[in-house]
Amino acid sequence: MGYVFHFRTIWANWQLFVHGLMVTLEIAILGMAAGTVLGIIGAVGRNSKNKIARIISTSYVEAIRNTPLLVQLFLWYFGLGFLRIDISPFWCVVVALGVNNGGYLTEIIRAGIEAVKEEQIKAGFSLGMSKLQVFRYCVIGPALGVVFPAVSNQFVISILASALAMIIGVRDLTYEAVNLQAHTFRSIETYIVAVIIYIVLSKAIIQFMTILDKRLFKYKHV
Amino acid sequence: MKIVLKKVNKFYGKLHVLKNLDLTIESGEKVVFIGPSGCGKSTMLFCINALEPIQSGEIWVGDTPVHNSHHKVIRKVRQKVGIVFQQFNLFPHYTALGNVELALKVVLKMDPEQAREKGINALKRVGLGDKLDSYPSQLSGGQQQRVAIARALVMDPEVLLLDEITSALDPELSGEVLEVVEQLAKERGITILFVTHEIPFARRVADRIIFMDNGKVVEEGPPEILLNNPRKERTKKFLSKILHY
Amino acid sequence: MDISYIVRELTYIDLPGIKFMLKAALVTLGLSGAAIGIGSCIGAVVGWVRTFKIVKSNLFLWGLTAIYVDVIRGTPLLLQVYMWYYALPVLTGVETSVFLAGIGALCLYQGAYVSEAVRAGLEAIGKTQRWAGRSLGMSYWQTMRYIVFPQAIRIIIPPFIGICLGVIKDSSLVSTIGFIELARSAMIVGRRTLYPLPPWLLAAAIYFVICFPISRLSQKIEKKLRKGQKGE
Repeated sequence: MGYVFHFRTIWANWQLFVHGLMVTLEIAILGMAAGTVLGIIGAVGRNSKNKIARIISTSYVEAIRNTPLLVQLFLWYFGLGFLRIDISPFWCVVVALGVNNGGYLTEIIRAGIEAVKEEQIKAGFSLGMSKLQVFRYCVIGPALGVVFPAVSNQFVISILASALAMIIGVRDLTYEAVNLQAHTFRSIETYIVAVIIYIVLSKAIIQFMTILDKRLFKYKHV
Repeated sequence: MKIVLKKVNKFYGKLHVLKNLDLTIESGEKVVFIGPSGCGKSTMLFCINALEPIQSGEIWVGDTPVHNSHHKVIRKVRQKVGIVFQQFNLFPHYTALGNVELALKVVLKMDPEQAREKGINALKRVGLGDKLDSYPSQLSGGQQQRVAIARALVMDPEVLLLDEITSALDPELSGEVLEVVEQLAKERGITILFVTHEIPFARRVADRIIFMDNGKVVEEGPPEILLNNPRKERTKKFLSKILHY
Repeated sequence: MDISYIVRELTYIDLPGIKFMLKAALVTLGLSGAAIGIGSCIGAVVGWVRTFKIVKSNLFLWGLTAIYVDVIRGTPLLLQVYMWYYALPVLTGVETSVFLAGIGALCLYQGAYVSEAVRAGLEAIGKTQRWAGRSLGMSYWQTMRYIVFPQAIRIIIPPFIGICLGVIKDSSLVSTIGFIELARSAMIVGRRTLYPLPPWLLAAAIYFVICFPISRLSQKIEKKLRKGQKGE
């Protein structure tokens, strides 16, 4: 190979990696939170009796699923500019990722809701609960329990997708890695470190979600 | 609470399930419904607490009409009418106590301390005082059904609808459930409508037995008369098939 | 607020720009097609190899496949594209063109995901099926060809189409290193006309027109495949 590895420059700049990691996490977590809220709303809309709600949510899902995140990011970036809304690149990425996640999570959560047996819902109504109460106490809990693995997967996807933030100048992990290698020409070392951090991060998220699953949904593991 | 059904017609799509059904249940009466599968007995129960809509006719629970009523009226009715399902329908994500106190806290807006106490008492009454924190998946069928009964009872209903509550259980487990119902029938002034195949139980506990077939009432009467000396041919046929002398 | 200015900001794109973008759309299709073609072959082989008992029990061999599959699936595609373009030349001493970097990254990416889909499909066909074939005297290859593969393909196809759709969309990432496909063309036209939004709207529409029929088709295929299984 004839290449000598010099990791010293990497160690010297470890703070950059840590900062980048923090930003990546922030984007991914905020994006997931927003996405989950939008996902629940969308899932309710998809199965709603109201035709307009159905059309809006179906269009939302199809628009997100059939266009690249990159395109969506630039649409938000220039679109918000067009509307004269002043937004930082960081929040622009969060919005783009959040709305994107919402599209995929809508379908995931919808599958979860459809998995809740009708008899459970009947039991809730028979106790005198209103529609909203039945949804809140009898439906959404079990629905999320059923699809939690898919939700975890979406979280990992968010971490990887957050890398697009670097394109509009947000200093996430990928930005720092690319930036560092441009300055030091230590391409391989920087990238190896970045790759390792992402892989460790993905595995850590999966572990975290598994523990969360056991805590939140105790009844699934008795 | 008195229950009245007047000329009730219900369709599932094209299937005419309840045909001009007329029925009156007096307050505090314990009535058992028997009949072949598909004759509409369970459907009738679901219409009484408006889980299923009817296409024509009237249903009255006490002084309140259930047909064509605003959902707020129906919710009030459901607080007074308890139902126990054949498949228990417990909420898998709540413990036994959680299942029982949920409606108290959410529908009756009861104080959590009070709700918990009432819940514990209800579970003790059905013999499950030691299973408060168990999840439904950890309980046997008979235990789950008893939790379902406690869940319905804890609301202090004036009417109790029981839909074949032992049909989904292994025979050894039905006993414990029927015991609970028998206790109930004795100690409270509650109106009970029980759809079942448990004839010996009906003989002991029912004030009146109603035989339904094809969406209509065929014959009714006190157990001694209906079971021993049925008047209609259809009743005789049905009974001969299910009774083992 | 000048209405005509607002409308122009939303819709201004000149004919040369549209032609350029449409040509770039063809490049996207070609790029995706190549990545799907090459990547699926790699993925099928790797996925198949990963079902071997020898590989599964041997930590070293399994680790080799894991380095490929888990690394590709556990890091952002964007980072991989950059690695192909900036790190590979340093490693090999050969200058990587934008073209090579783009295709390479997408092929490996497609391959890793396809390998997992193939593996899942093959492993879903239980031992008993293979035993049935072997006990009839079939060789390993015959069992695979007549018994395992036809059943596995049913399970593999829906996720496979999903992965292909993903590659068509993810091909947009190679625009960041200068590869001229649909997304890059939107950037270029926008910079030229000074109205950045309309080219991106057009790009979104073109991607949608490409992807939507495919995803609809996939849903139909899924329904058909499920019907067949129930009938059996």
